[in-house]
Amino acid sequence: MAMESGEFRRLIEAHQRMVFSLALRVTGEHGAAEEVAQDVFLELHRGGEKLESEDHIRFWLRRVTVHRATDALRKKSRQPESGAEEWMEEQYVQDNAEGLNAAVVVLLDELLRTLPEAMRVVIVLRYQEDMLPDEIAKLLGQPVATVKSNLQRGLKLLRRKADVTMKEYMRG
Amino acid sequence: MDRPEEMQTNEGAGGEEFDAFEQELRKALERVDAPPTLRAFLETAIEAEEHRKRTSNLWFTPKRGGKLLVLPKPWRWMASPWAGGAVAALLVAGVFVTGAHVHEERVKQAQATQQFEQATQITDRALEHAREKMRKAGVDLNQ
Repeated sequence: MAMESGEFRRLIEAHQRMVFSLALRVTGEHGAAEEVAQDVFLELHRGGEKLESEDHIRFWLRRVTVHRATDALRKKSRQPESGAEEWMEEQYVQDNAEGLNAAVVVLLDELLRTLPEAMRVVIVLRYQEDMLPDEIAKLLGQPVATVKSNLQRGLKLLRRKADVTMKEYMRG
Repeated sequence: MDRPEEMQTNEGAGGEEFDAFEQELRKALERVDAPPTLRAFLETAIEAEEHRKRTSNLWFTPKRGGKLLVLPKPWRWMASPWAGGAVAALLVAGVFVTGAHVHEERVKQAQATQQFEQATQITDRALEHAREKMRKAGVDLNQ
């Protein structure tokens, strides 16, 4: 049985930013992120009656979004062309006017896309969704130690890349 | 700053306070607005579902314009991405089955032709043998 239309509309309103942002950070592409968000909400609509509480719904949305987005990412990595650069350019132009801090923010968003998938996912869940390592572990079905290790390795890699890129940026 | 209110923390990856870099990272990873097209798509999907429940008419006109074909549940598979592949696979299988059948018929035909030629040769030889015997007996069939 599908979910009530009114209830479904409320859930879209409440969670569309979270679902879309998660999908965007994992896939790194606007179009793919929108497709993932569409699929996730349609799946919620079809099976919504099984989700009792708001926490359960949020957990379910995050889990399904991450899975769908990583699937899309893997599919995309097998294809030669993607629209990611186009979207990144657009973002950069919008934020660049705010100065160096905006540049750092855009740079970090861009560098995130260069991280391996496992690190990228935990970083997004940790710093976009403010989830704790044990919550991420539960969501991904991984040991907490694996999540912590991916978080620390991902952060280290990001710091190093940001450091190198910022030095070049300041010099240029 | 747009953060999930349900879990605002100040702890870094290792459980300690977020450092300056992590603060920048949080800022970089703030949630962004979903495009209006996402909402529009989902609204159309809800309308289509309501239309399907209300009426058996396959054609549905969404509020935002256009016309959509709403397939009944047993036919939904036709709209799935693998439907084209399934139809192509059926066609290929059909071509194979037809090809195999044609091949089998040709083999049977060749066998029949060969058997007929063998039978004709045997009959010719038998006739020649009978003619030879009769000639020896002094009967000339040509007269």
